[in-house]
Amino acid sequence: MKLRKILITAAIVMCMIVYCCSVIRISTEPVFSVSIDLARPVSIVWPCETAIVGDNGEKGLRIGPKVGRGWRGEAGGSASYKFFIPKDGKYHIWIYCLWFDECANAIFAQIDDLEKAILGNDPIYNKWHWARGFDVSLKKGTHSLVLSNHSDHVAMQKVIFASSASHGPDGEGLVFSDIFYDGFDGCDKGNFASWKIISGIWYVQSPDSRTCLLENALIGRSEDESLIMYQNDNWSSYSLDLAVKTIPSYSTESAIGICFGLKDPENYHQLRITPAVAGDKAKMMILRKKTKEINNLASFDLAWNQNFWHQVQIRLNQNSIEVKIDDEDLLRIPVNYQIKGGIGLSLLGKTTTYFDDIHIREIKKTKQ
Amino acid sequence: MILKSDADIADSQTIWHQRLYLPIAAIAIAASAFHFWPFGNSRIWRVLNLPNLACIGVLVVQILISISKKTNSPISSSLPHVSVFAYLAVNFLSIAFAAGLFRSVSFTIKLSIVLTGGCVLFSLAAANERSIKTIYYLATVAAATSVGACLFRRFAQATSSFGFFESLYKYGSYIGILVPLGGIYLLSSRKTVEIFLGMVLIVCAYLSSGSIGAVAAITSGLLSALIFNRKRTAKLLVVISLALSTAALLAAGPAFFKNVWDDFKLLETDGKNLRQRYIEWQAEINLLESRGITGTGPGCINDYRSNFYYRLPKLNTLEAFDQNGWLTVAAETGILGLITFCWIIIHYGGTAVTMIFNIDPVREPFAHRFAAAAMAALFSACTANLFSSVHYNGVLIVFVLVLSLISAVNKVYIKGYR
Repeated sequence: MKLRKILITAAIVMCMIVYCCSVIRISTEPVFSVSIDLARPVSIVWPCETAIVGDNGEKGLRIGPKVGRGWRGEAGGSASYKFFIPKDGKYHIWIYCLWFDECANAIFAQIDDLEKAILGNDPIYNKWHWARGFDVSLKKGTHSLVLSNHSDHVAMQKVIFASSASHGPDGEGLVFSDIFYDGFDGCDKGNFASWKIISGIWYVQSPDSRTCLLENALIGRSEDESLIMYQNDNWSSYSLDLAVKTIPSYSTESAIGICFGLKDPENYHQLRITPAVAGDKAKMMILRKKTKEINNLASFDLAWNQNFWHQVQIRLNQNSIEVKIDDEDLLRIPVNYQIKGGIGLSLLGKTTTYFDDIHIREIKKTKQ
Repeated sequence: MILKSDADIADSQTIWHQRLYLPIAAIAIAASAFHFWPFGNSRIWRVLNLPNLACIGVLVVQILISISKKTNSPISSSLPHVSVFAYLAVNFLSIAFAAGLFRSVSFTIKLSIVLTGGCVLFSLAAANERSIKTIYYLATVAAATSVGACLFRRFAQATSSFGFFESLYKYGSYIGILVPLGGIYLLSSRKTVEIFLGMVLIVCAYLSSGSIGAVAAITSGLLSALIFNRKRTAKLLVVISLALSTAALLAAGPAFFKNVWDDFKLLETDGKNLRQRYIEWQAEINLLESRGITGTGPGCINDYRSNFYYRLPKLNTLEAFDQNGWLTVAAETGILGLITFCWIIIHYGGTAVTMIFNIDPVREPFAHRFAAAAMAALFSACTANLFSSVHYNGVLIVFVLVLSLISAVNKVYIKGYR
């Protein structure tokens, strides 16, 4: 009997120890980042050059002004680095950089044999800051990073690969943490080549200065149906913020759609805004399109002035979709699945709409 | 059968050369005024533009003629001085120390083609007084076109571009060499119209300059003419031109002074950081300290220079532009390269000064005009090379033109090839 009690007590204690260990192990999952000093490339080709670039004499990588832009094929230039990743996993790239203007705010980054992608393209100029780059899955081992000329007149000091999305760059300094930003202010009419036009007419242009204080905007024109999208299969739990301005249309069927959790042109969620032909109202719907099936998750009416810029925010929490328009909480609908995917903009009927300053920010998980 | 004497053959060849090469030289000089217009963004056009094509074409034709042996005039008679070949030889040797083979080889080939091809072209075209005169007028027209385009773009269209030139420094070097050449040539004339045009050209060039390098280059050319010219009227006219230019610049006020003052004071717009010229000079001196013998390889200074900056302007605004041609030559080809480059300048400069003192301005008025103008242009080129570089594509051709004109005038008037 005594032995039985001892064994039961020992089993319980063992279970508790195992549980505690596993809990402790989970909660102390090491978060780390691998830092690359850009002043020490393995090889370098001009116009990429290492020089003193920091305000306090720090060395880094620079491309001087007016030497030619890589994205237009005017000049080459690259710098190669090697770095070691201690553990398999998904890594979040950050870059400590100095951009000059909207035509000088990005660099191409290629990791191993992956397709090269853009780092930067954020709207912070003439200030050293940390900018959030793309995410990449890496295996344990040595990898190569090649930074090459996208825009001239740029300088960078560090690239870090953070093992956790919540683990940003250390130290003080300005941080631009959007996982995606497009203000369409890049040179050559916004250079929005990374967007994919599925249908309709989409272009970047400065809107009428009388009606808008912003600079360039993405303009969509539609006769029946238009769609432009920015794909990313890894985005989840994010907040999509953008400015939208609708132009009055005499068609009752004209509507605009802001797509999120977009996997392809047939699979996405959408905030559809159908402005009333007369009056200052609009009908809004949250739709889920799954192949050819469209489900209406929610619908409501709200005040909507045409020819005015409205700030739209869509937050994808773990189990809900929240919509805010002009800083006013309008809707929160629960969902029992995770919404994952890129974004898109669509137009229905005969209409013209302006879009600008599109931000995607990761929603950090809070302890329940 | 009538046998031709050697003199007859030589005369017929001179006429033949003039007929063939003078139009080509004219095209090369005229095209230089338009710089890389109209295909400025094309890399091919930047290499194979009309002046460079003319140099390549002439070299090919002359080599073929020499090989065919159908003429008794060897290519060597029109080649540049041995100092030019010494300089090119050092450039070729320096390729061995370059970081990038392609860049250094392509730079050296381009330099060789323009230096030798240009000298051959202009020497053959400037075979007598008439053709030399034509070339001087063409150079003056090219300078006037460039200045006119710049004034039109800057003041009539209110843009910040310098005519056909995308860079303030390149424009400054171009007009800094050609304006004294054309200006002194016109000021030394007896015709009132030409004198008037010469003064207008000089005043307009100052107004359009926009950089301290251009102002210094034009002024040094005019001052050299003031010192060495043996014609008193020409000296007086230079003084008048300088006075008129000063008056015009004062009248223009901020339109002129803002750019030149900004360039002179060497400060960033925040008023705290040094502008690039001093940083470049310092980096090149530092580079010379560690690679004084081998250099970086021709055209490869950019592969090394950035490691020798002690500091950079705060907002990464330092442009990749050679702010001192002398230091750049030394940094790229080592001390030996600088010595051979100086040899070129000393040889041609010495020839020009000797010509001025040996030619009687009364008996040989045209010869004296030619020599005075060419010498002024060479002084200007040396000054322009302090603030920019005469090696730049599009500027090198006018530097070669000046060397060739000194050589041609010397051949025609001093050596008596007339």
